[in-house]
Amino acid sequence: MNVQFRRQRTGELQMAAVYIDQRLVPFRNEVAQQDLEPDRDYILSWRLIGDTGSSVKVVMTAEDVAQTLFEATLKHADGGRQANGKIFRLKGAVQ
Amino acid sequence: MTRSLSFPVLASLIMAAAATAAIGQERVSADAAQSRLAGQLPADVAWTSGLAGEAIQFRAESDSSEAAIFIGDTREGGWVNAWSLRFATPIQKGESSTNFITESGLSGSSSVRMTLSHVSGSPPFATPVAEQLTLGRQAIDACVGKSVTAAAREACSNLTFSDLREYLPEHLRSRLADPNFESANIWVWTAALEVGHQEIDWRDPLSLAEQETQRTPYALSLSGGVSLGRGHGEQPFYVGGGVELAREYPAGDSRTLCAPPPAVGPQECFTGRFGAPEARDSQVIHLVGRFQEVAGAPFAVELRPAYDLRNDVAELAATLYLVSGSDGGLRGGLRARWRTEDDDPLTGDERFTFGVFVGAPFSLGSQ
Repeated sequence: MNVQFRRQRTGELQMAAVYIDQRLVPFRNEVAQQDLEPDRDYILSWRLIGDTGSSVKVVMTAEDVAQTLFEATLKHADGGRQANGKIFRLKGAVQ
Repeated sequence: MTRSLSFPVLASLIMAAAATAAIGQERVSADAAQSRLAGQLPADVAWTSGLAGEAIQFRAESDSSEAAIFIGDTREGGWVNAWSLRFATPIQKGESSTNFITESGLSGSSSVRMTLSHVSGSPPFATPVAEQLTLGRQAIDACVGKSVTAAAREACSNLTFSDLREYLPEHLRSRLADPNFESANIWVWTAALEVGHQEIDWRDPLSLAEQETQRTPYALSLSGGVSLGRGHGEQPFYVGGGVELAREYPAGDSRTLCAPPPAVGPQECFTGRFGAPEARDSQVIHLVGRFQEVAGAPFAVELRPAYDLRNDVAELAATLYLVSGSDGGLRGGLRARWRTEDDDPLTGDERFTFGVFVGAPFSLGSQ
């Protein structure tokens, strides 16, 4: 299933790399497309470098259903860096 | 010698600030972005590598002023590769070059600089995907098992690894995601080539006739450094160094020479540069150290000692980066420099200078 990813960045974010199953999502002008299977789990991970308060949000749209994959904000305690991840599945496929 | 900024320079800065404030601010600024990256990434990278995005910057020091536009982009792969172009020109034609040796590039001429950078570090997710899935599901199950309400159980599926780690046995937590990313060292490597164009007005010292000569100064620099990872309670710190080879054409000191008195009429005198411009080569090595969030305050402090092996000149530059809020906007800072005297009669030996800079981001993209 063709899925569109849209990345939104605010603040002083110099790097917001997003990976699905360890493979980089190739954003161009903050939009990327990928083929994903609706019946399986994926590992979504991200690596952020920036300033305290910077944030990034990635929204995934599949068959007109929008789903916020993650929303992260760099906190002072992060020291300007954050690496994190989660398990996700296409919305609709799990309902 | 310290001199106050001239009115045209100050006026330019004020106008520039007003103009750039109206530009959309979605990404980081140029020189000012260094302050935000201090301790994270080196100053050079922020505004020359492309990591800082697009920005416009104005700078004024005792005897020079400059306007610069940066454009750049990043390619986020395993880590980051970035490029940038910097277009810069003196604000006032004919300004003497200050020839600061820690400036990483040309001064006193219109120039274009191409920079390539690579940022690398230890990978944050070394655990195979299949193992992350297994551990993640195991943690989610543990979370669901400990949750009392239906809403809490549903929320477990949406937790990130940093939260799910708490539901795993301690020896497995680091397998789900690298908890040491914050303390990892980030290495940055930068190569830059800058080519300039100078139109130099000068007078023949014998005939006093005015002439114009065009020259092409250039500079090649390589630098690297590491943003040291921090543990809790420690301040971010960046340390690095680099080398630069440059050929410049200093403007030289202005003098006044008079022609022999004519038989009739007034004697003619001319003030300006006498003699054709001569190349000045430099081979500079420098170190840089930078602290961010000094004592918790919103500014960064940088010290940059440098030594010109070719001309036997040393310089120490100290910069205070003023940091504004996280919503972008104008950024600026103050910089003081001190250097030893050189033996070149063409360059002014201004041993202590003081300057200001201000920058603002803008966006060429559709973000």
